[in-house]
Amino acid sequence: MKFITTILFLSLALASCSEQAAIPPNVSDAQRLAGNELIVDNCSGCHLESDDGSFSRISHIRKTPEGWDMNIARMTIFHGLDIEPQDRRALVKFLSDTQGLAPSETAAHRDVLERKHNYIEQDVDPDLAAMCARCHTYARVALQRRDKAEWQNLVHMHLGQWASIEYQMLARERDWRADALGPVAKKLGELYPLKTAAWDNWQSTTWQDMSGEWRIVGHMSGQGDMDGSMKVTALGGGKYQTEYSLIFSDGITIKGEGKSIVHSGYEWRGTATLDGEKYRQIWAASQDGNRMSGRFFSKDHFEDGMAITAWRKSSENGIMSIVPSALKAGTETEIVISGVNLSGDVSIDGAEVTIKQVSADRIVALVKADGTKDGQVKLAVGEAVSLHTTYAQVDYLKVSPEYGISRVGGGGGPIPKVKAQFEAVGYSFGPDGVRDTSDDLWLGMVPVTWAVDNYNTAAAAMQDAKYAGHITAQGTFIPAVAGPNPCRKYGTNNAGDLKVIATYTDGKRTLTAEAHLVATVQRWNNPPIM
Amino acid sequence: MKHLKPLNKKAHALTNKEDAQEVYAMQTVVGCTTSTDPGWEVDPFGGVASLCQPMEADLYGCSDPCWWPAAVPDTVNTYPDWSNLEDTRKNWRKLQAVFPED
Amino acid sequence: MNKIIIISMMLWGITLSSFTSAKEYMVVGARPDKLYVIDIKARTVEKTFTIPDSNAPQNIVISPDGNIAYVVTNQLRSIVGIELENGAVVFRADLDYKDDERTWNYGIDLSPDGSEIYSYDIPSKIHLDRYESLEPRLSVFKTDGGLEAAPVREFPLPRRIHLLMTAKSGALYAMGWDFYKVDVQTGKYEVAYPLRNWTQKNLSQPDALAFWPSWDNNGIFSTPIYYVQEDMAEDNMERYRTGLLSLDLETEEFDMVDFQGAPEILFSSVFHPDRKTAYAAYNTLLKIDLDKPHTAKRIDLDHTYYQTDISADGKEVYVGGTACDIAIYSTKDLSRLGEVALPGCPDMGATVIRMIHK
Repeated sequence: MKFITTILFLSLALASCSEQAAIPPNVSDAQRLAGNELIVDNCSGCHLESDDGSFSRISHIRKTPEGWDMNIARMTIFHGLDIEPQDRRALVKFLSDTQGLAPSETAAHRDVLERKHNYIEQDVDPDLAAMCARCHTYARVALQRRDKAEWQNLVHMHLGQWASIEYQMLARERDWRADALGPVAKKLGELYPLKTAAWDNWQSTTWQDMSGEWRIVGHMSGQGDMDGSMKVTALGGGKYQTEYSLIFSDGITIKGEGKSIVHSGYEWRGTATLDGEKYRQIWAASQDGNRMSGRFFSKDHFEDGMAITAWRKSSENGIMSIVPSALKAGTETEIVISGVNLSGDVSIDGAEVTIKQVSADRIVALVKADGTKDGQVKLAVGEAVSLHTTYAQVDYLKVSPEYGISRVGGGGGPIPKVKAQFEAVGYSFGPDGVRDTSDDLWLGMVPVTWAVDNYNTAAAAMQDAKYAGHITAQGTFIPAVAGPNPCRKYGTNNAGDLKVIATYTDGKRTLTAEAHLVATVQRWNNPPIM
Repeated sequence: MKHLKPLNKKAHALTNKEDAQEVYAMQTVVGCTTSTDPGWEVDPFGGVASLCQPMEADLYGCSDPCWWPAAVPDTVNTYPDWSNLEDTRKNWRKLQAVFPED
Repeated sequence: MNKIIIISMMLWGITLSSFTSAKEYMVVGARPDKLYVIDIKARTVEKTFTIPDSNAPQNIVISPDGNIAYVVTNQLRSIVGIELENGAVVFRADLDYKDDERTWNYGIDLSPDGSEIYSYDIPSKIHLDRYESLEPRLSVFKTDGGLEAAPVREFPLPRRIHLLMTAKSGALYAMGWDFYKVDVQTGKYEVAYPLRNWTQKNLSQPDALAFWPSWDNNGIFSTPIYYVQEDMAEDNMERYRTGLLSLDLETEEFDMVDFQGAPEILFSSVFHPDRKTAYAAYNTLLKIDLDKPHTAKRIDLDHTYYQTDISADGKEVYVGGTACDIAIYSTKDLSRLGEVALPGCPDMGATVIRMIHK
């Protein structure tokens, strides 16, 4: 059977040679043979190989790298698969490259893939939400591609693995099995079928080499901003060595290095060590391979992270970010303009600009808006133009996220605390002077003082605010330790139902805004796609 | 269900009258019924006061009949040996996370 | 309802007097593999046995003579019979008795004469590379089937059943989407009390997930049940109602009383043998007046408990499950009377309490 497969690959290779002699394929024949061998060695005991070279189940599914990794982990846990770590990584790479998802197929669910904390999935079909997302994210479903029969196999697996699946809340009210095997499997097969033009087209594009010099900017909710550079060196096989030099808005520069791999031609997955701390990256590259965006987060505290954008220096030019996001009229402010290949005069409509430092990547200037403009104004560096905002005063605040989750942890146990980060965002009413209208101006992060209080009377009765944790000056809620607390009613955990209150002070004016924080218990199952 | 939390927030807030703006009837989620499980991390009323108290008292009541398997390892099939602690309220520090990193 | 109560009190009065002449024990399981016989009035564990293949015992039923405990073990896949005198394992049925099956028990009871075990099984077939969820079934075993008991009858049953109970008549009741009455000879079943499509005026479909048998000392199954009074204003929290659904295992009469509004989670309930009050628990313990149904008293418990049970004399209400202690309260005023701590403090988890008299 292996012989047949080899012949098949060879004939495919010959066909592709005659048609596209100049462009090497994204996955080489040698890589296909090696991947096939890995499946034969590790999987074919149960997943039988057919004459056409396909393997039962495996060949009828497409997934993200995280999805494939969870799949292999499931095989080790459920069925005793014993696989070497390097084989597991190689299988994830091979399956993601040959049976992955196209960029357009992951676009709507990147926040979950990026392990963004306190993200609320929007606009999920209520029936699919009740069916699937009552236990795990909807993204875990929407980041897979199967035809109806394979979705039904997934339902059967759920029924055969989790004894109480039909009895749990939001399941017991319905004929769960009939609904899942019937209309839900049909709907999923239509929404997320195995074969799509998006994936076919993506496979036929040329996947780009990511090596080179990159400019990178990022924002850490509630904490500040970062800009810096990244040097990427190809190691072969989609793997890269990386070096970082990052400047944080508190003035500290951190250097570090790491390793990355690109799956499916665009799914950049990196690890980095910065200042002795370990970080991870889950980024997506643009089709031309000149930009990347995603999340850069702590390995041990996935909730600690920043949203980043990276541009390839040799291909891009322009302004990437301006920090801070808005200028208060009459106040001299130091701003940092980050970009690629910047040159020429710096000007901001309605503001006086004094340059402090300038390079092709980064301009530091002292800026004072004169108050003649309130709203979006033009900021130019030579030919590069961006919009910036000037405002007279902060008219109202919002706390982001509006709903947050933290988890108790530590206390001598192996599960770390999961913190919750809040940020206060300022707004101006805009020209109409009315709140929550389309001309309101987003002013970005504003400095506030933070407090927490009991969310409601039930929380007050349990003294949740006293026990559940505290919030720092940067809006980081640090939950209390895990374990039963004998001082509490029921000897219960240091969980709590809280409101987070931000207070902004400008002279005699104060503004406040609130968010809801559920400070809850640990979870013991933390797979890459929650 | 516009706001679906990425964790298993089981249902919409149903708290006191003072929070009426937060109140969606729980049954609107599936159209026809009430649901009264305490969730694993958020109770049916959107808070934590009706979770099991303390969580450690409920741990095996969840894991043994496989109740919230996305958050708590189920000991029926998936992780039969996850834990054989005596007195979880005292020995909870020995509980380990289960997803196998490579 | 009053009429039914009086009749059943008369009938049960006879049984109760015979109960009170015997000594009362509580039988309870705990992780990973223990079965305890507790002298409940003395608050002491009298016997401890080991359950085979157990990481967490689940359901328990006791033979009518009080001699053998049938325990669901082996991760819901087997039933073992353990003699309560000496711990000898005298019965075993593995529920995955068909090829390549993985089968779970989700309900168990005995025939009134103790000769047959009824097991509600949820099977899946495990193929080489896929699972296949199969239809649930009632498997009937003879209790004298020995250590490799094979089913003597099997019948299909609806999905999502979570509790079995036999009435005195021998009829089997199964609670699931609806309450079914099952003929254990033919497998024929009918809806005995509709839940999914119940006909209570202005009330939404109810939610009731009962796992706990608390009919040993009162002859009546009961469980908290939740529904919405749909003709009440949407912002009125009183529209979220709690009732007690009961099935008298002597008369086979169902009843439902509404006793409180506003949301409060309760996992289980138990009727007083006099049927005038009931008790329900989760994070709180409630005393419920059944004559004019309302919550007469509510106390906070010291932690969550799943199951409620009651002494034959009706003086003590017990709460158990979850952790390693059974707390004992006065049925009169819910004052704390004592507790039994299981030796070594093993968690009970989701196992059950049974009451016997020997």
